[in-house]
Amino acid sequence: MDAESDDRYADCPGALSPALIGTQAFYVDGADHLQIGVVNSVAGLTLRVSGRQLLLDGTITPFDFTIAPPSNSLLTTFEESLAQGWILSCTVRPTAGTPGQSTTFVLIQLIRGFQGALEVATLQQGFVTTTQRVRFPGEMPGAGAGGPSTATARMVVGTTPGAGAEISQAVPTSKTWRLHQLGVSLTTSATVANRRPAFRIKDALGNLLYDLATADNFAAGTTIFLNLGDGFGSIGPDAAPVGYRCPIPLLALPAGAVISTLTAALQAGDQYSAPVLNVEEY
Amino acid sequence: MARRFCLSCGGRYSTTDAAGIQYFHSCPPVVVVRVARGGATLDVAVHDQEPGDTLLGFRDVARANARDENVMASGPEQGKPKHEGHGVLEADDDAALDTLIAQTPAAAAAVSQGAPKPAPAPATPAPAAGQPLPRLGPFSAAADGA
Repeated sequence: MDAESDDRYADCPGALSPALIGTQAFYVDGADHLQIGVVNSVAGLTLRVSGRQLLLDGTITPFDFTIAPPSNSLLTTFEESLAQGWILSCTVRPTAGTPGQSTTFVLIQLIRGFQGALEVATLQQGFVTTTQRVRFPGEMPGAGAGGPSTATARMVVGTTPGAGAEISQAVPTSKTWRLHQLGVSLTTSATVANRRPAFRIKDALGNLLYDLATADNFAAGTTIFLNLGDGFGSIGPDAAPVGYRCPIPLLALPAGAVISTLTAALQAGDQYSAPVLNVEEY
Repeated sequence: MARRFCLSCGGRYSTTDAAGIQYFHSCPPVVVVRVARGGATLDVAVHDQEPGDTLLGFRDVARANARDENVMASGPEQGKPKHEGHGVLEADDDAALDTLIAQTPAAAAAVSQGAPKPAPAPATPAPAAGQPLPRLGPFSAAADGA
């Protein structure tokens, strides 16, 4: 059926609208819908999606809705119906929460149907921050989510273990960590024993990648700060001793990898602090 | 940022970091120590050590019913935590959390939760004087309780 005989297009002022001149407007019919995909790690985030449509009768109408993506770094999609006409613009911005660089990736897509939807166009994609929008029309950035060029520097404060327990920190789902430094203190109880901590790194299946014990024991009633990091030339204590350095190469650890301690002669009253990790996360 | 106490391991943590990014807790393994006690050789958890035990070796094993808040990446359970464990106590700050812990009988046992009971072990020689306490078993995923 061509445009001359199709009643849908007969005398359609929208098609002649100056709103379409020089634009990248997308025509959508009743089967097309807007889909917003979000990969997010910030808790409590709310995004506002708004834009304009040119309808068949030549009028311009806005659309505006809010979505609350989870903070689990998995792709979550939100669908919204569109009126028949042309999408002139769409912008996504945060209205609650503070997305930083590379924490919240947004896709603006068109899908056909809802059940078993067919993805027919990606209008825009990119990272949204408090000062940066993801908008259509606009030039699509080259980098998608998840590469080293989009890494976020993080100071991760892990779990303070119970007394007599080791520290253990897993790389979150869908994330990669470049581990630069880990710092943790061990305070030993009055029970006499020679503690000797080791740092270990395993993959998600438990295969051991890294295993390094300190070269010295730590007696009862002491506190030592253990520094695991790249750039240390040798293993050993500082002069005080207050800190102890353990060298490790700069590693890229995939999701599920676990960084932990295993301490010889650990006693029930010994206490590790919460580990603090400096990582690049992407 | 809320504070949580894990009832599977006794660990404390914040639900988000200073930048608002979600934190996902997972319980550490349990350390098992081989000891000579009263003429017998036993494998016991750290908290089951007794004065007078002679340390023979150690290793870590997977904690029973450990909590893992990292989410499933795919499948029918996508987005859900991998394992709830014994759950958590949650409060706005550490002071309120301390109060909640004191009111919860299960919290007192959390640190030793999931640890194996003392069990007989093969005879193992004590480490020579001045030598570090040896690891038990081969450095394999199975032996290390992965």
